[in-house]
Amino acid sequence: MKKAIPPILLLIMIIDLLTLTGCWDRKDIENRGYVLGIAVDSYSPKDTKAKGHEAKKEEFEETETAIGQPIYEMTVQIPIIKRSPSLAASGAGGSSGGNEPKTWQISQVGNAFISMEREMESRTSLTLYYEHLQVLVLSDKVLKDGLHNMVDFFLRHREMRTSVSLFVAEGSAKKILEVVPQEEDHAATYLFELPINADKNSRIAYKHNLGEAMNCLRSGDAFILPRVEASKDEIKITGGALIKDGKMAGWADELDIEVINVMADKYQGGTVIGRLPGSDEGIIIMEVTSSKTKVTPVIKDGELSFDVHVKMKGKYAEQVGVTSGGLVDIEYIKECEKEFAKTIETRCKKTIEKMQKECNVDVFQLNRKVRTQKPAYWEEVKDEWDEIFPNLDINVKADVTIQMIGVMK
Amino acid sequence: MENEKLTTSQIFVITVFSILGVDVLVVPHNMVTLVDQDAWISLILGGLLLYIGAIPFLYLLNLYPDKDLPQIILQVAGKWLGRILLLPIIIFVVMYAGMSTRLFAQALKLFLVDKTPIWIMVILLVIVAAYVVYKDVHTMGAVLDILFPISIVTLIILIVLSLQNIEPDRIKPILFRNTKNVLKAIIPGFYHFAGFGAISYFLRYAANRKSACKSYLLGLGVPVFFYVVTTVICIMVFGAPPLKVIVYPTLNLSKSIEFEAAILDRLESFMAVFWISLVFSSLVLFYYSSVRNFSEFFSIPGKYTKYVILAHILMLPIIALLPPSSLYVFELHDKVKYMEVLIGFGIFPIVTVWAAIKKKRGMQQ
Repeated sequence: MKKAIPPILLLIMIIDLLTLTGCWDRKDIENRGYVLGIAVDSYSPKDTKAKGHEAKKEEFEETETAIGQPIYEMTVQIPIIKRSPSLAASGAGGSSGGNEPKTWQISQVGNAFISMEREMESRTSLTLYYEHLQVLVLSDKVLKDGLHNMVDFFLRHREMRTSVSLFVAEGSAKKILEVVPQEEDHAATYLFELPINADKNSRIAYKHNLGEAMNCLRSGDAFILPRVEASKDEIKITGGALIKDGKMAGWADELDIEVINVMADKYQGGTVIGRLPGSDEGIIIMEVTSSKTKVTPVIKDGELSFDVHVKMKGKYAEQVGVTSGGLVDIEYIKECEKEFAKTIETRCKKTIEKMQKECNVDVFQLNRKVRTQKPAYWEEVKDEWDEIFPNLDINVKADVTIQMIGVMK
Repeated sequence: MENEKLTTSQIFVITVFSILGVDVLVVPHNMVTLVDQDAWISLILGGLLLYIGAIPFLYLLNLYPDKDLPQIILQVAGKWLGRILLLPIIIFVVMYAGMSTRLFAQALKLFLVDKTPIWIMVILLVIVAAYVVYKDVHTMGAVLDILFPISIVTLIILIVLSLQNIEPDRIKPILFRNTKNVLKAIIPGFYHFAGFGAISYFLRYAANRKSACKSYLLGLGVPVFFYVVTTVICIMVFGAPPLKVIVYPTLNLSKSIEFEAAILDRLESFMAVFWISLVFSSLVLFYYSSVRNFSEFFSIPGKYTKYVILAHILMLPIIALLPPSSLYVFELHDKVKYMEVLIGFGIFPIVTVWAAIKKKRGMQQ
């Protein structure tokens, strides 16, 4: 005979059925405002008030603060997704479709990011949602006031990802997000995808996401964030901002970034230029296919110095200023290798000297090398690293191997 | 119920799950807070200590092959003294089950379901676990057997994918002016492996006892391996100083993995597979242990066991919801695990020695 289900089992089954089927956190996908990018500017109250339409907008952007004054201006970018079918149809089919803005930038001023964000919710019918946040653009002024004392919201918020890319804009960060790009729909996506070419162009700073920034801030290491500039429809990565002790300590230009990437062993690919052997005018160019850098701290008679050994492999890519072809043989390539190595060494020395003497920022994270490889020495000098770093002896030696020459001699 | 047998592989799985619980989320943080980048050494030493505790314990269990832990204690130490010895074990098991549930619900709320109240997650988990426990030991073995490959494979995927972010330099310097801290942290390293005693409730159902003992000892190595590897990877990815402020490093690890392809954009939801099943499995095991403990402590006959299970549906959520905020949970969770040290190196040896002497006398007569 078949046994009846015991009442307790029935009870458990009913409770499970009732409670396991729903979802507490259900939120319709079309009700979310997917924040793609955030720009943070510093804010100081303006003297002159705008008129008319602008005045109302500015009024909206103010956040009443119970304690303190507004110091930041936060701008979020959300894509405009047409919800009503009639709007969508006219947008896609009509001739005016191309001119319609595809994103909405909402700005808000205040002194805490969470309250600014909540204030924005009173201006949009969507719930702001950060899981798909891709870029965080900071203005240089914000960075000079300190990255470490404003970044907490972005690290603590559960929806934020540590893979969010950080960028620095000179002047206004908001302007970067306002760019209407040619190849993408949204400025934030466009900006996020730019560093993909880091394997072609070595002048893009190597590490720049939120997680890395946090690690460096916690360990007290200096680091670099890529700097971006914007025209009306373009964004360009150009150089970087040096961050030391959580604050911005200066700019690095594109050539510096190249060296910083080499020193960090994060050089993914790019070009190296050299003088044409035996000529004053011609130049030769190598396309780097692989690069390896070894930085070794050396202690000799109580004095610390560094040996940097760069090994690059590449292709002979171009010669300019002489007739095309006809030069290449084994002897010539050897000369070229020497020329390239010379450029790398001089370039490295120049940037290292700039970082040591001008900026005094240990952006190569040499302190980490000492800390991990010479811990006893580090214990002695860790408090006076700022005085030691500018006077360090850093010997750069480069080895270049050209493996290919292209399709002609 | 009594004639159901557990296969050798099920014993292995039970051993792994009894130790590998919710701790996998917090081990790197807890250990790095104590010993910086050398945390993994303490964990390895803690793992050795685990074996030192587990081998005599296995000997004790083999003295009474057809009994489980509370029965052995009551038989060895007598009616009253036995109950006194059993009391800390009862408290430990039930508190550990409660705290794991709470930690689990807390992490789930933080990372996945923001608006769902904690109590509903706790109660749901407990009810589902109750259902498995309500069936028999065999069902538990089968359920865990199914969950085991899924959760372990996901954990391995997480570890492998994290390899792209590591910087091996971060783990250095090794043992530099830190030996004292490393030694001090052996005990905390050991108590993260709390739960090795859970096997005592299942070993008597083993189909082949000899190979079951072997697979138990083998199984103990799995959590040690995973805790050490997770900690090493976390240190290499984040570095020691940031780890001191990251509450759930393992989950952050899954958040830090990035792909160019957008298909694995939200890896952490996928990773929920491994830790939810880990916590569920360890809860099932502790649930059952606790039910056995209470039944023996109050001498409840077998046919009333279902009421003990029902009582736990009420009791576990109450314990889990006791701490008012997440910070208290971490504190209480740690304190509970200290009890494991007391039990593993206080009560178990006493009982083992006592039992050995008793057995010898019995033989002489």
